Amino acid sequence: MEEYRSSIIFGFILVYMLVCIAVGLWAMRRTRSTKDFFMAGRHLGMIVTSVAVFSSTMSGFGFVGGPGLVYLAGTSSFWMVINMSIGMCIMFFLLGKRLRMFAELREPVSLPDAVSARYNSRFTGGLTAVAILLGVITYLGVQIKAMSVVLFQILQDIAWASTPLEWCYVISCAVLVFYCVTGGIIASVYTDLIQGVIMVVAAVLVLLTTMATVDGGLQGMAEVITRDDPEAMQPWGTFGMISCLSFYFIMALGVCGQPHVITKLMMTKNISDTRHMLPMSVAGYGLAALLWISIGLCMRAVVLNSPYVTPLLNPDQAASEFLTCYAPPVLAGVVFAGLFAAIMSTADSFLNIGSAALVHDLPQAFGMTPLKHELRWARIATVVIAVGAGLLAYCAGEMVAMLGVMGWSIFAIAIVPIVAIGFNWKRANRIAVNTSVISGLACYAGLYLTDIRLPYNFHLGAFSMLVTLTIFFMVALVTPANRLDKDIDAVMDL
Amino acid sequence: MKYLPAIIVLAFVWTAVLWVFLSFEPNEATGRPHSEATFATPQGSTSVAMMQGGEGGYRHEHIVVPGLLLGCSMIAMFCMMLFWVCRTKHADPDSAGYFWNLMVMVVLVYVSAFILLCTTYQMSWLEPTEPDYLGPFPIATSLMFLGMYGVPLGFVVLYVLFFEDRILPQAALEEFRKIVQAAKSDDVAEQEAS
Repeated sequence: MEEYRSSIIFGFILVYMLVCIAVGLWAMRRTRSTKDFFMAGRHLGMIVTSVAVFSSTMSGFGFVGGPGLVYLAGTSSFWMVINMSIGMCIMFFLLGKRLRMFAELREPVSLPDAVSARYNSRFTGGLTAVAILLGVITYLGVQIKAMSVVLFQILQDIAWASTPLEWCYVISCAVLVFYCVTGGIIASVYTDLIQGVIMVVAAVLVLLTTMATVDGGLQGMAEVITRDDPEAMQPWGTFGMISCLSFYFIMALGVCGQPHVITKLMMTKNISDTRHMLPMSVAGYGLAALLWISIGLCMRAVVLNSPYVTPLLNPDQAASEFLTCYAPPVLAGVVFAGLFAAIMSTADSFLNIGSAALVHDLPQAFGMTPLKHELRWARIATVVIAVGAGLLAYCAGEMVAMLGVMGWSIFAIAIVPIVAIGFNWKRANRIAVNTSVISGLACYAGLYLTDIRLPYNFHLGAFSMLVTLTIFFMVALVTPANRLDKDIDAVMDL
Repeated sequence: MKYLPAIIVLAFVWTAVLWVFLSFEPNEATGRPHSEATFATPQGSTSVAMMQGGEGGYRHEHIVVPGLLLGCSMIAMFCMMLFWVCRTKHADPDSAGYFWNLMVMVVLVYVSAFILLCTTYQMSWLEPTEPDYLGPFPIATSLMFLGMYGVPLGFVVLYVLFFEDRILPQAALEEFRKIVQAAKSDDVAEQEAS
């Protein structure tokens, strides 16, 4: 069986991609309007939405970048995982009910649409759309990059299928585009369901395999890593306390600023579904994150422990190296499919919200009349965004995880004040949100582009987020609140 | 006065951040490339592939207190947001005390777990290469999982148990239905008039 390893893995991925394409075709028959394309007609069930929420949160950044970060820096990156219990609580407490109410009351087809309704301002809606587009291009680029790198490594081992990296980018974009263009968000959430289940199964199986790979299981790994460098196995890892705490801050608070995740809260059939969605999403994410933790620790321990194992050239290779060399072929096939699932489930959500921003929200913000044949334009925009993000990913040289953190930060800085706080606080006004978001994004871009390093590697995104929140809060307190529409005012009282 | 708690929490977070920024930062406070070049930069690699943390006590001694303050104030900020959205005029007043007590209890356990994590980590500086284990990981690392990931699950439980009382009471749901109906009929009237 071992000699067919590469072919088995390739077979699993091929089957998986064909399933995604089939779901796209099935969903196309159910997509008749822009409301179906962007909001799934607002009739999703509780389980489908819960799985979609957690599988969109756990992305290529988690499945490829996560193990890579553990390999690079030990336990430091655990802080990007363990924040999710409090992060999801904040998201559901603040937005679970509220966004769904806005969705029913004003029937928006996108998040910026809901923002325009809340603030009675096309500019604020447009600002949200611009921030979404910025984040989408970066974050989607990460997904495409992760997908192409993994595909390239798999195909390299198959003599007849060996493909240059450039073609892997093309294939990755093509599959993504196909099912997103055909089925829109309906295809996206139903593939999310399949992808979420695969991710959880894959993560549990991987945990068991890693425990069998190193003598002594998890404790064995911890002991090997501790012998080499005690700090790598202590809670702050090699990055240190402040760096980890800043990760915890931006990741926990940032969850409720991820448009591809929170948009799904607007799509459920019943408002009360959020009650059971929170525990299901937290549990699903917790299980899927086992892959992040176990592969990273296992690869670091294996490399440190054995003189015969070649050290990784790039930390991002940790997941694919483990699956290619240590997992049984069938499991490797399932996990590679899970890995693709993680990447694609996030990427399709980005394509969806990005195309909504481009063809629906930005024209509205500029006061243009709605486009004729909006659905057709949405499909064209999906292709344009995927190609743009693919090109960016190909040219960008940074590690997958770090690019992912950048995309996450842009979303968090822009959307947490506007949506997570603003939708619960009547005093939040247009001046406050516009000023704070523009200042926050400018602060982040300024720090990032000038290559400034904050003391103790305090994360630039976390610092910019804090700046945004402070400006937002202070400006809202010193400026008068805007008059709200009667229905919005009443809903915000509930 | 209504906004005082939020102002205080923000002030604490900023104090901690500025304190950290003004503290002395030792060399390699945020890690260094692995001491063996074969792991740090294997032949053919373009960047550092594996890092080491070095000596925990040396690189953390200047930020023990501000770090603790930063962590606690961050937790306070998260929890304050949860408390803020749980206030509703439709809640059952009889169960209010019970609910708030449980919320406060989860917060206290959360903060205590963080403080315990920091203290246990500092104790490990005495014998870094032979840490005590709790489950498969050194005690402080296990506390990170149990405390920072595990304790907030208490909020998840409270969300589920008190959903109909605190998050979406039946009366609020009925009021919402009326608002939607009124908004829809206003729209129809507007369309007819135009």
